[in-house]
Amino acid sequence: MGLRQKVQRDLAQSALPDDLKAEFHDLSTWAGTLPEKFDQRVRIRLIDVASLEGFVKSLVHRFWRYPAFAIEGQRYVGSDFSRVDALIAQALRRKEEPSATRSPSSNAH
Amino acid sequence: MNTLLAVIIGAVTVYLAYTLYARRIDRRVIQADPKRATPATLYMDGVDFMPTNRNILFGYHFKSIAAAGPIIGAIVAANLWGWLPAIIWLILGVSFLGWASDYSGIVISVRNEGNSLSAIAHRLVSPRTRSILFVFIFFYLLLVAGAFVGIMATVLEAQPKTQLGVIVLTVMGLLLGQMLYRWRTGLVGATVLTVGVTLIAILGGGFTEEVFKAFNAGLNSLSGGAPLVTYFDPTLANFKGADAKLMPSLLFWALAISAFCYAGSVLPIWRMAQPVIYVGFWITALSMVLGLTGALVAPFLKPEVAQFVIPAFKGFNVQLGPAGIMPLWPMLFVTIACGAISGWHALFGAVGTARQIQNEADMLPIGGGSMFAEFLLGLLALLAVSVGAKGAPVGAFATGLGGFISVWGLPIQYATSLAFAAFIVIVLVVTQLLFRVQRITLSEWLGDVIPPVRNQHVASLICVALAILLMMTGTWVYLWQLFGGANQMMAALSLLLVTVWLASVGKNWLYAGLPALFMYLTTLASLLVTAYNIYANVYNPNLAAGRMIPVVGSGLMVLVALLLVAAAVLIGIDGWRAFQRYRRHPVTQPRPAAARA
Repeated sequence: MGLRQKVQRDLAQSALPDDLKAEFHDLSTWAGTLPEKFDQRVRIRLIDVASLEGFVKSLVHRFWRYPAFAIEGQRYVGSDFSRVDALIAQALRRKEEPSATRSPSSNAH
Repeated sequence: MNTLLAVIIGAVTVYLAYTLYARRIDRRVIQADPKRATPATLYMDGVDFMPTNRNILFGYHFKSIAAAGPIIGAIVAANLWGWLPAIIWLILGVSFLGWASDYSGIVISVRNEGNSLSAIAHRLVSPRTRSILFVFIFFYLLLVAGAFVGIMATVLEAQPKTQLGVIVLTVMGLLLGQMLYRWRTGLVGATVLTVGVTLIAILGGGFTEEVFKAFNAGLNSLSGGAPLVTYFDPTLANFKGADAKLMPSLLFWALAISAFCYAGSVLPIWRMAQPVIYVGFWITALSMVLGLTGALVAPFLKPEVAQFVIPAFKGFNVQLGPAGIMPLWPMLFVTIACGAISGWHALFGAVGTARQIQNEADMLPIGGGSMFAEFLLGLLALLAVSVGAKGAPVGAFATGLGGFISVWGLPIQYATSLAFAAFIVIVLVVTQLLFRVQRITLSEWLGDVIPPVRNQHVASLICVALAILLMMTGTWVYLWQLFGGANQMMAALSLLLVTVWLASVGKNWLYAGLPALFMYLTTLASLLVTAYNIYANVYNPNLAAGRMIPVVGSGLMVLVALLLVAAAVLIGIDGWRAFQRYRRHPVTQPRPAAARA
């Protein structure tokens, strides 16, 4: 293993407390299932809370707890990913009714 | 000269160099192709290789390369040679060398399967080049650490009104980590609380000034007012040199900074480093935005803070100490490092940013664009020091930046406090991460030979102790120039590697080859000049006076300088041979290589 990987591994291992690390892992795993579930029609952006962008998004969407999801104007805060799936499906249905030209996007904070 | 004119010159430089030169190289020589797959898209693993949006990657890359370098270098150079040589080198450096180095560091990695510079050097030049680079990096980090700890300790000790702000920043950083990651409070409220309290402490530093003065005096009374170490400092007495005294209060603040960096090095990132950086970001951003916009409008709103007051030119060979030499060439070109060209940028670009480039068309805006943005940061520092001539270099910078900020109505004493805090925060957040990387480097390098070094606490303490030892030589200007030499040598070596690669694939290598040659010769000369200066101005007088700590520290610095020269000569010989080989027999495509660091 090269020096860079050592440094990166050290940073990654201590980036989050264990419980949040597990939560992040679950979130990543769930995000990985989206292309299969929704047939590549979903664009997802994962935003680090502790950043300028995280600050602005929290303020705009009025998120005070995390993880938080913004799906085409709909909000959800919590770790029940089935509810996020439902919101995405709902957004896709809404999009497909008038025309199927745009894909809904999802922001996870 | 005034600030508005300087900012206009800077903006025009960026525009012309980017559109007329950089884009031409990108189009004609490198032939960046948006349709060509990049390592990020080919090997996406979600961690190392990750295609990333151009705007986000620009911010990430810039945040990683922008530290104290462009600020301190410009301050020191303007004080030594005047503002004119400094601004000329900033402009010419970024236009013909700096962007080329940063951009090419990314290009060579993207076109070589995302490999790091050392891995590419191993393949293209010779196997030993990689090992030499490894040692080079450790000493490079040591020099930065020593210079930064010395600068911060000096500022904190001499400016008691800044001490409360730094203490509160540390406490608020720890509190933010606890709030975000343990109590899981919302970010907006936590930000308002922690940044707000830190800001109040910084602005209110004047109210506790007397308390900290008394505290420093109390510390100094512990030794009965006697210095802990006396050393000959060639930078004192208007650069004629004089005896300096390291008082207990200075050592206390150096140890306090070291304790901060030690904690930043061994604690989990989420506990300290990350939240401190986050709080510090707001303080720095606020100061920089107010300062830069203030500099632009100052000639109209507050002309007295917009006029340059330091001399334009002080001479080609300024006197620094009784025996030393400080010729404009090569020393200016290593004193101003990051604002004109920097090896760190290329190093980081190759191992970090290159693996996240999603489209070859992004290489220039991210690599070159970030370097031009860094140039503007260096220019702001130069403006600040050029209009605020009173006091030591950092004090002059804070006075100047404070003047720009005060254009917006903030009383000058508060504006100056904010500027001091911004400077310390920028240096502090970088230094704590630097110690982290350094201790990992040390344990990798010597862990097999000396097993205790694998322990993170032992490795961190060794790094901190070495930095303190260097600081106690009291010659931070030389330390800075030694760091600048190592940093610029890294840039020369990365450009040399790019030149070899361009020759190997039959492309025009001149845009990288000429800057590589200039920087290689310049940095070799500067390292030798610095080694001589340290020997003549620090080692010898202190040895004659029987002062062992500065003798050991300066001896170590001379040794490091010579080691860097030897490493650079070996790499240069290997690089030249490889270049000749490829010029005679270029290969049309680089050999495939596994992506690794």
